[in-house]
Amino acid sequence: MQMVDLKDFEFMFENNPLAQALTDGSLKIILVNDAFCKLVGFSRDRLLAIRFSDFRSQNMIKYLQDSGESIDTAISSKRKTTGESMMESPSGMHAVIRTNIPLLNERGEVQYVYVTYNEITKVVKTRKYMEHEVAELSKIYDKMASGDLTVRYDLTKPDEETKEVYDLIVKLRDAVRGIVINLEKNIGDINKQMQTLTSTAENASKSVNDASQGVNQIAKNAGEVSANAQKAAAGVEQISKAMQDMSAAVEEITSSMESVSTQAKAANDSAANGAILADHVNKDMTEIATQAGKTYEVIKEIEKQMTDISKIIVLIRDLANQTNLLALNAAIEAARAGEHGRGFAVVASEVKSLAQESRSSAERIEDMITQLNLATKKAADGMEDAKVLVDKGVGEAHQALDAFKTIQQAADTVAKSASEVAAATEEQAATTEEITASVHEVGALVEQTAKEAGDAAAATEESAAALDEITRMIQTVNDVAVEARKANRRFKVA
Amino acid sequence: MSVKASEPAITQKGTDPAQNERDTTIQVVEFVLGNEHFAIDLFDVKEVVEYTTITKLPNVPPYVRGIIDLRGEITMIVDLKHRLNIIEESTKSLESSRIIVLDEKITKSKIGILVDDVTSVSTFEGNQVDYTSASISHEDTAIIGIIKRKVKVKEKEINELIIWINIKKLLEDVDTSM
Repeated sequence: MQMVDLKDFEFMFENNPLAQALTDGSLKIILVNDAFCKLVGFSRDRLLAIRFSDFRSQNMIKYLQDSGESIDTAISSKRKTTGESMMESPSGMHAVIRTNIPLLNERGEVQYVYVTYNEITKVVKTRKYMEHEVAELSKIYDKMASGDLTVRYDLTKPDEETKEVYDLIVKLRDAVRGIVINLEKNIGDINKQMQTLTSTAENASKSVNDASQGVNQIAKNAGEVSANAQKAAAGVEQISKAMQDMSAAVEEITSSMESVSTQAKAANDSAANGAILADHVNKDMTEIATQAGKTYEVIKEIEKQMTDISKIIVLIRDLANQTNLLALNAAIEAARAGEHGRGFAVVASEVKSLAQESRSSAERIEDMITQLNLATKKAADGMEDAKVLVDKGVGEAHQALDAFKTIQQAADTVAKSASEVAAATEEQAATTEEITASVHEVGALVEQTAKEAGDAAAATEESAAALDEITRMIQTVNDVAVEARKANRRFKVA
Repeated sequence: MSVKASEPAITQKGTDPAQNERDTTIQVVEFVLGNEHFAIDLFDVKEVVEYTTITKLPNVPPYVRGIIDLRGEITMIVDLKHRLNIIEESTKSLESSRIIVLDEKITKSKIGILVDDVTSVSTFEGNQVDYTSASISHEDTAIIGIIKRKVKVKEKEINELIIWINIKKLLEDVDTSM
């Protein structure tokens, strides 16, 4: 084996990026390279003046975390030991893999210990960062798995060493987040659609219910139709019977109409006679009215003349009075004359008695005139009443005449109507026959209807069964939709 | 003159009425006041006239109705009913009443008496007159006697009483005052 020059070894030792140190058996530092000085943060001279164990005992370096075997174990066991340490040196925090290789002399004693500190700070940091972040993400994903899709985790800000791994984790997280967002959206959509489906199912259920009710109604109606058809059949039979009766009645009407026609003619003749009579009455009444008017005039004249007579009577009475007075005075004169006036006294007495007689006669005439006046007044009143009655009679005679004319017209109309009725009755007889035929047809139709109603009832029952089936199916669909919604409800979505 | 002329007529019957009442006859003018019949001596009457409008006079006794113009002569009218205190109203109108114009022999002035009616000039026998009733009369009534006259009323004969009065005596105060 070719021997390598010591100088070369020194060079290799010095320039190795790995932090290296060499101690003797008592852990006194013999050699250190620049990498080591840099790592621990002490100068070469200082390091060469101390023992390796001084780091710990002098508290030059804080070993925060240790694992594996220590350098002491390497010396005591005379074999290579490894371990990891987290330490804080004046140059900062470092994670290192410690390797302690004891070099033995011929006697098998530890002559030197070759120590390397392989700095793994970056690796450790990266690993720890990754562990932490992945653990956090894992918690979040756990929550998502249990249904809450709204949870989010913001990654810890990376430093220089963790930047690389941060980028990778971000990529991973974004990928998962994309999936979750899609999932969320799908669940939302499904929920909505399920809701729609549920309400649609409810509507369908309702419609089916309605249909079911409708079908029930139809069944009921079909039953009623059947019953009504039976009733109708009975009615048709009655109509048939009634038609026969009607036929008989029509015949009766025909004969009655002939009688009516005859009687109407008789009424017409009587009315014509009555009209002639009424006309006569009318004429007579007019004559009476004229005569009554004349009588009235005469009575008025009599009244006037009686007034004249009354005047004359008054005159006569006056004359009688005066005569009486004259006779009285004559009697006085005669008496005063004594014997010579005796004869004259007799005359005066006679004149006086005559005057008294004429006065009492005049008074009697006056009384009679008064009576006559009363009588004529009554007569005049009676004539006036008669006149009113006669006028009324004339009016009534006119009315009677009109009434007879109306009766004549009415009788004509009746006769005409009777013949029309007779004609109509004949038509009716024909129509009755037609109706009878139609009634038979209707009877047949009613029977047909009854049969069809029965069929309809059967069909309706089938429909009802089908609707029950549909109801059941809709219930199933609804159940499925509800289940689906229940399943999705596990996922809380925004 | 006129007063003297009337005297024989009165004295003829009035001088001895008790002796002559059975033999003499009396002539009177009968008239009506209210419901009763009265009579005055025929020779005290001049004439009977119809009622005419009376002109009232101021400041005279209440029974003097007033004056009328009778054929040119002013004649005083005495309401006899008023003078005799008869308050019964006449059944007839005032226009149908009569005025008895008295003879100028018995009065100084021309006097007429207003009565409801004048019925007749009658002659009675002396035995038809009852003078005893005159004794019950006061001065003022001037009743000479009651004349009884038989009349038939519904087939029954009853005595109708006529009051015979002395008109001259009754009107003395009026006559003298005028």
